[in-house]
Amino acid sequence: MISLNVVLFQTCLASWNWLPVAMVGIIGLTVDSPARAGEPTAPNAANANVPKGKQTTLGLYVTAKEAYEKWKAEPDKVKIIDVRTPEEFLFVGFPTMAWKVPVATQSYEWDPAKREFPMKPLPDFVARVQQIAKPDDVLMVMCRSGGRGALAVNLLAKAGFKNAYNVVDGMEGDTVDDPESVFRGQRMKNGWKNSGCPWTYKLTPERLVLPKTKAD
Amino acid sequence: MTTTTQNVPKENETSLGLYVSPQEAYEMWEADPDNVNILDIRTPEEYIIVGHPLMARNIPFIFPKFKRPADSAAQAARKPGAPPVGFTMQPNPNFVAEVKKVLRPNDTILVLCGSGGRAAMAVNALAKAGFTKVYNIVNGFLGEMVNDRESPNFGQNLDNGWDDVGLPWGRCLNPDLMWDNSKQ
Repeated sequence: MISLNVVLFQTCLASWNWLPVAMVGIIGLTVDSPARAGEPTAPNAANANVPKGKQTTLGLYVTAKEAYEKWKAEPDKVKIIDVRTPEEFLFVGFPTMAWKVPVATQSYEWDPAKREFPMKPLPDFVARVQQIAKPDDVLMVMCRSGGRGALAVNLLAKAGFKNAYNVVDGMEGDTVDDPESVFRGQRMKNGWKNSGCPWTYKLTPERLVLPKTKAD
Repeated sequence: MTTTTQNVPKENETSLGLYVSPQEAYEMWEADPDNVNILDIRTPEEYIIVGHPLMARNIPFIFPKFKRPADSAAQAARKPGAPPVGFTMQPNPNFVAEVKKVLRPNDTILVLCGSGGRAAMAVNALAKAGFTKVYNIVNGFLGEMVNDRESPNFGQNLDNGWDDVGLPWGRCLNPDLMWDNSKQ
């Protein structure tokens, strides 16, 4: 059972006090989600610099900016895979060259214990990635700020993908947690959008790989 | 400058002709928080993920529906300018009923969306149902599209919205203000 309790949307100021905040040296990331206990992590040195909730079994990580540079250098070999919800593609925007393959959907039922609207995993995620990529392709897996991306990479790794990187700062990046900052709680630190990488709101069906619904 | 019909974009106009800028909306609410209601009619995803004015109640007016893209022949056959096959907006059939559960027809309601277009439609729907003091918050949460081709933000909604004129907003969720479809 996949757990999506990474509390992807827990950015309430009220919760800052109890959320474990891990400072990360190299890329200057902070995590605002509780770490998941019992998740397997690879014995990879790279893991040491990545917050628990963003670690993957493959141990391959890039920043959004690095992912963009890698794609630019080899656009035929490198695929950017955005695993967020269609609503995020439409309302937040997405990298112009990304394949859009959602790994989970937003639920509309409040979970009073976790104080969030949990995300629901989509069971056919791996099958949809397999429609567009081969196991030895280089995949840059991206979500909002690295939590769902880690989950997606682990699913792909289990299915035999070897070169799946987690884009640790994702589309929107981490939230500013400096209590002095007027931007506290906002996502202005890093991520694809804040790094000047090209993106758009213009949703076209090309490269949008959605799960089958009853209506199909 | 007070916001009037003369200076609102055409797609923000409503049958009631009541308009406020995000700044004016905030001031109205601040002056009388018990009687001024800010109603965010965007999708729950926008409210949760993009963020919202902290005092705003969320009742979605329309939902985008995404279907698996049709085959490339069907995409190629679509009329120029038509939306991509498989992507539609669908109204929330219970919108007015859901508003009526929490607000009365003579309440002051300030309606917010992304940039004032959907809110105009929602205001008209509420006006038709007998609500009389329903304002459209022009420019909405994100603001107008940046039209300057030289700007790195060309084509993005960034000007004069709630989130870029310095008004308080966040992503903190208050279950009393949230749209929870298990309770509808």
